[in-house]
Amino acid sequence: MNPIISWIKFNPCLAIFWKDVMYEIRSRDTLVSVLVFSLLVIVVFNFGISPNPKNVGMFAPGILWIAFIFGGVLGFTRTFAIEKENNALDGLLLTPVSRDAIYLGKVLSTFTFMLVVEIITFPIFAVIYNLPILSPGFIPVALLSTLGISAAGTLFSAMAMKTKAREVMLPLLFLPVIVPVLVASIEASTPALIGGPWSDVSMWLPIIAVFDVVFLIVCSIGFSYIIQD
Amino acid sequence: MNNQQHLFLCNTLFILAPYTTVLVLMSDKLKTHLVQIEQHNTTALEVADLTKSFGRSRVLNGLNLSIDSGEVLSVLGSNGSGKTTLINIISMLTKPDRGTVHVLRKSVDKNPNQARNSIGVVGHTPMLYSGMSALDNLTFFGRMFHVDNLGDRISETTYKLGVTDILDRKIGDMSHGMQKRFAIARALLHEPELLLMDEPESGLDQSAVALLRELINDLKDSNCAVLLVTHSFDQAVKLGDRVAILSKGKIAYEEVTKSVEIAEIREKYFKYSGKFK
Repeated sequence: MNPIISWIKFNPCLAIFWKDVMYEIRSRDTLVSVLVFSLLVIVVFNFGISPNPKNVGMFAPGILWIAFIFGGVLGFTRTFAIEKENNALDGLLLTPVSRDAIYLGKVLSTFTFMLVVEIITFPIFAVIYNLPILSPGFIPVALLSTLGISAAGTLFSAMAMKTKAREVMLPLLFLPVIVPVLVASIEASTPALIGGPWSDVSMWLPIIAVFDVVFLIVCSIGFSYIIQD
Repeated sequence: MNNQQHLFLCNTLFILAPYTTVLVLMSDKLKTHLVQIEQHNTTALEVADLTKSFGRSRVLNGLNLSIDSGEVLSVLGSNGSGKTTLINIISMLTKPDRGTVHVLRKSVDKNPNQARNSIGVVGHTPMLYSGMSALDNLTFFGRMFHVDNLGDRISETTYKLGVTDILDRKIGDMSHGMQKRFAIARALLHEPELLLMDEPESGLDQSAVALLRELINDLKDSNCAVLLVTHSFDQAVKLGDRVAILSKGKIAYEEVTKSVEIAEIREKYFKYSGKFK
């Protein structure tokens, strides 16, 4: 077998990612609920705030990221719920795969699901709030922020899975930790969405990237401890 | 050298030559055989001074046991005697408070992934994804174990368990017995050298139990060690080469099945498990 194909086939991260994708394609449990919830948040805020051309640039990025993060929380509760059924997680932990690989595989699938939700939600959001659908400056912000949210969310999802009040514990643990990424994402998204200079966007990107790296390292270490009984 | 001595030497050489030739020719085979014997006698699992508490309750209290390759050890114990905890600690799902576990003479703490590669586990629950088909489940776990010729291996294992024709069905749509069969298939997929089975007969019908017995005998022949944890006395005695009784967190009684009357083991089981005759 070609070594590259063999690597792809037997890479545990990719195997976990592919398993989660196939599971989601068949069940459509997470994506649909997260998508509907994110859209509802955007629509409800639209009614609540009644944005006009003067204040839309101030409110819209915040609404967008709150919708993504709240939707994400809903999705994170499902991330390890499928592993909990039938004790499949124990089956996974019995395999000769490092806990980091399991964590990174889960981050990869969560990141992909969140991106899919964002790709569908963003054009609808842009139409509702009368913002440009094509905002190239928003792409790096969305990619980096989603990575940070996924990295932290996966860890807290695993942590919440071990507690009885899973649905309550996850937002309580996750939201305070994600605040720095949330603030930086909103600050970077504002100029990106209202057509501000690229320098105003790019100045926030290294900050988000640093948080991404910190989350990935710290959370992968923390995951090994949390997942152990 | 006189003629008599010469004749003696020639005769000796004449007699010894074929033996020597045969021995030289067979030396490779002998070596292989000796290696096989050595492997057969290798300790597959060694557990020493295992202690585990949950809160104030001490479940395992300095437990010691060992299993050789190709041997089946049945561990009997009543509910709550620590059977599942023992399996969970050996399979590294639970950390012990104290004690060591060696799989194939290697510490599981130092070589966890090597140990995981050598262990197959059949637990209470199937440990399979209920929303995925049996084939997808086995393919996923086979990839995680880097199983070569995975398709062939899945066919071979599921054929042995009589579940080849329902491979495309979702695990969640199957009966408990069928889920258990696939759980056994998952545990055997990577050809483990040590198989840990936690009450494998629960939820299986008579034909499946007979299949399980056959399977365990096949595993013994292929030099796989089996730790069978159960509270079914009959299964333990029928399947095990040795029977151990777990009581108060320790092995209270241990005996080779063939060397002792079943009635004696039963009596000990009743004594240590607190069951009435």
